[in-house]
Order: sequence, then structure tokens, then C-alpha cells
Amino acid sequence: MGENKHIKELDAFAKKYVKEIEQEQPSFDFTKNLMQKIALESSLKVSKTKALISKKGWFGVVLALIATLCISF
Amino acid sequence: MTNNNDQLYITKVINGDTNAFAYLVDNYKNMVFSLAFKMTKNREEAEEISQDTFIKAYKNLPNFKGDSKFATWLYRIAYHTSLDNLKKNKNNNNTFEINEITFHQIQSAETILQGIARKERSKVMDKCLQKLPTEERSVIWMFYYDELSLKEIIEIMGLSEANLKVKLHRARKRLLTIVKDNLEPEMIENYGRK
Repeated sequence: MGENKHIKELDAFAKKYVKEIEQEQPSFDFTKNLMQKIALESSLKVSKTKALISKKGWFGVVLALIATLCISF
Repeated sequence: MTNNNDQLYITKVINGDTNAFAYLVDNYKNMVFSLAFKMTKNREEAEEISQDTFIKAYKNLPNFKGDSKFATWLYRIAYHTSLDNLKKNKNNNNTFEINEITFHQIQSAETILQGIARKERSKVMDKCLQKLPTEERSVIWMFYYDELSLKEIIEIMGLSEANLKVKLHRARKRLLTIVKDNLEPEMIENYGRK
């Protein structure tokens, strides 16, 4: 019983005074800097994974090849 | 479980609207930064950790299932990124011995704190919190400041419920010991008056 009351009082103490601590804030342009970083990473990712010849491009190449073969025979 | 607004912006980001991520950053940057700052005690490191946290979250957003709150998921990333940073920089913790706490000590500390202006009290408490070992400081911050539930803290820190309860109790006792030590001269004076 005494030990429980002890926990309760400590809990009430922490609840009351920790909540009063002021929350720190990041730099003023945190979001702006971060979004620039993300935009840069996204564009790098896109350029890295972007194929030299797109699916449509390959389709055109195959079509042109078939057409050439058909014409030549 | 995630609030509807968060989910709306998460979906937008997943569908390719990168700018929608700014909404989530603005909403949670103070929470992430505060945790990182409380853990590292260093503004520059906390800023870097916060940036890393959001970049990791952005990259892994398609893996966010929505089983838990977005805040809890983000908090977990922030906590582990801060821990990795601490391991990398080998920040040493000076541990305060936990003394036995009596009712009188709790009441006495309260009386002294009540006599201090709120702004000053906030500084005293912050200074005392900084003296706790990292894990205990994090637990106190999550439970009492950010008001996360035990279930959420278990998910973030990967602890068992019993282990978390022990850590929380130990952290509360140590915090009061530190507060008591910081207010000692005033407490003795107060005791003498009784």
C-alpha cells in the first residue's frame, strides 16, 4: 500500500513538472532545407532508374525492325 | 489508426506528390527534434538526426501499413536514429545513484518548485532531466511530455511491458533524486522551518 502510494506520488510529480519543460524547436528553415534535400534525392533516384529507351521506344524499334524485314522480303 | 489528415497526405506522397510531405514535416518536426535533442543534448546533432529521420520516413513511406499511428511509426525511426548517433559518437552517460525516496522529500521538492517562477522551474526541470541516463531520459520524455501510452513506448523501444515499467519507475526515482540534489540548499532551509 505504502509502496503504491509512493509510485503514485512520484508519478504525479513527474506528470506535473516534466510537462512544464519547454519544447525545443528546430531551425526556422528546417522544412525548407529538408524538402530541398528530398527533392534532390528524388530527382537523383529518378534519373538513376530512368531507362535510356522507354517501353514505347522499344516497341517502336521492334515495329520498325519487323516493318524493315517485311519490306525486304 | 493513423489520423485521417495524416493518411491523406501519406497517400498523396506515395502517389508522387513530394510536396505533400512538407505537411507531415511541419506537423511532427518539433516532436522529432525534441526527442533527438533530449537524447543527444546537442542542437546540431539533433537537427541532423531530425533530417535523417524524415528522409528515412519519406523513403519508407510506402512500407507504412497504418497499423499504428503515423506519429508512433515516426517516433520509432527518430528514437533509433538518435540511438545510432549516440553509439557512433559514444556519448557517455554519467549515472546518478538512486537514493531511497521518502514522502517528505517529494513534498519538499514540490514546495520548493512551486515557489519558483514557471519559466525558471521549467529550466530547472530540463537541467535535471538532462542528467538522467539516455534511456531513462527518453522514457520520461515519451511518457510524461509526449504522453505516449505504455503500448506505444513498447513498440518504439522494443521492450517488454515489465521491463518498461521497471525502467519508468527507476527513471522517476532517479529524476526526483536529481531534483532533490539540485534543490538541496533550499530543501534544508525549508526543512529547518518546519
